[in-house]
Amino acid sequence: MISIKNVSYAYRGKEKVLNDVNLQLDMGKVYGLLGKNGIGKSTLLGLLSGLLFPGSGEILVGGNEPGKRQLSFFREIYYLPDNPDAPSISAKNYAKSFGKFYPDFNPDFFDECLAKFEVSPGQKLSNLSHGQLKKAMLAFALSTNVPYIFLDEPTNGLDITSRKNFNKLLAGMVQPFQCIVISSHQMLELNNLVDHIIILQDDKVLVNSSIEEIGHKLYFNIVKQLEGNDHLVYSENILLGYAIIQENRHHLSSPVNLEMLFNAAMEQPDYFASLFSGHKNIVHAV
Amino acid sequence: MPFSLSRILNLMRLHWNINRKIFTWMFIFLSLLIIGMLAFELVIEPSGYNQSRIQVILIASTIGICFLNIFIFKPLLQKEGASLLILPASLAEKALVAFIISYIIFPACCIITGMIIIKLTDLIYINYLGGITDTMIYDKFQYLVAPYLRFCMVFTLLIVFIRKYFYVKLGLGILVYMISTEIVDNGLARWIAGGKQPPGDSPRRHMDLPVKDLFVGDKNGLNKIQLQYNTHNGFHADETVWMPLNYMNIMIILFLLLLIFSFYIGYKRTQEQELTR
Repeated sequence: MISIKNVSYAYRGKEKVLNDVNLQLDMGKVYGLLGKNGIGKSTLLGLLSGLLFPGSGEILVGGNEPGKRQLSFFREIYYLPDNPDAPSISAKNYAKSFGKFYPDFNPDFFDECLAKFEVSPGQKLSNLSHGQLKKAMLAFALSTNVPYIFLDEPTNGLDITSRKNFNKLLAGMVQPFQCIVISSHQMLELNNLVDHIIILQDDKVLVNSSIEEIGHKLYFNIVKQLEGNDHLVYSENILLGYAIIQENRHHLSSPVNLEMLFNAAMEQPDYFASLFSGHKNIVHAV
Repeated sequence: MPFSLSRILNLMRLHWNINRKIFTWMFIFLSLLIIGMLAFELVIEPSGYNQSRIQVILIASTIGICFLNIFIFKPLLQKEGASLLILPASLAEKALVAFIISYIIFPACCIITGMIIIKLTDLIYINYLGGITDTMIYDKFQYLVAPYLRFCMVFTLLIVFIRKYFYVKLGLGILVYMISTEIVDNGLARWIAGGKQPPGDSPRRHMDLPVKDLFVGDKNGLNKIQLQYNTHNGFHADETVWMPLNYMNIMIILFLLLLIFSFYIGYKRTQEQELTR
């Protein structure tokens, strides 16, 4: 379990990126960390990985304090940055060299992942394109079998097939003892992959809710006209008419559209903050 | 366990895998530097090169090692994006491996490379070019080892103690290097000679005695090696007194302490660098 209590962080000489953030992340789940560019997603992952120190507050990852950078902590996490470094060695050698440090590293699964991503194991990482490198590093991340995996914009630079394969591989490999946090600003990629959403805005956590809860509270629909749709929260013009979000007062079932959810949350932060903090104070928009 | 031999060995292998390109280029650079300096030496002194010039060559090579090490040590700890920084090895292991590679393995390889090149040059020069040389391989080794010790001092100052201001670091580094050259070479030579400037011959040739001989000497505070150098007659057993705090011994102990301390500070600094990068 990951516990973040009253955590604040500011880069030297700059304003706070995160301010009094509180979160609890459970095992067996895939968390989607959403937010605009520069809002603090990577910072939060850096804090969780022990690469950054919180200015105040406490972070515990599986009982370990990341800032202490203990061996027992590093054994349990894997953090894949947005721009991983590409040493001048092959993917196979990379796995050989780095895999030894992870007790449960699965070389067969690594090979399988590389094959699915169509990355040649013998090719030097430094010679790979950004997308290819990302795939090789993702294959490694998924093969470490560590309890906590933090992926920063994992599908950034991946082609459509690779994204699909990544989603498949990730969905198939998540174990009850694992907690995966994926940061992204590309919401569509996270659809059907994550089961919990965290939206950051203005140094705060705006939404922290499971997909189930979101579906329970909000109804996503496509309509030809806006008129006649009660309890409208948000709407967007689309080719067929309007994509809308309504309050789900009739307990209807609909797939959660993360992009719409994000746009709606950005447009009405107060409403979403109150809706998902349990103090619903409905502000009718549109 | 904060230290595990298998992890340390794997870390070293990992560094070799990742940084071998840097290592290779540095060796090539160093070899070229030594060859170039020797070639230059042969041009300006066709009748045979002398020790002072050889010293200049080797000190120049060692300065090369010093500065190349700066470029090695930092990447060993900080490079590779997040992958090395979050690698499941303790900070002590990472710092130790970086220390071993940059302080011991790399300089040792450089010194050996330098010695081989110089020896080969000697052989070619003496056998094929008909030249003569008054230098011995032992002296060359000394000239390389002493600057290496100095390099530890400079390196510590450059990397560990001063955080910013590159040019200030560089200036101070050169200053410390010059001062330590004076201390280690001339000072040490004088101390070995019992406070007198050694006449002609290099005093370092008289240092090939067991280490324990550094800790015994006469009542005047000169140790066995110094006495041997002074008298050229060897040392008389009845004059022996235990003298662990001889000036030269203190210097040697200081060097060792400096090495240990630099590792400790390097460790702390590394931790800080990792956390505030």
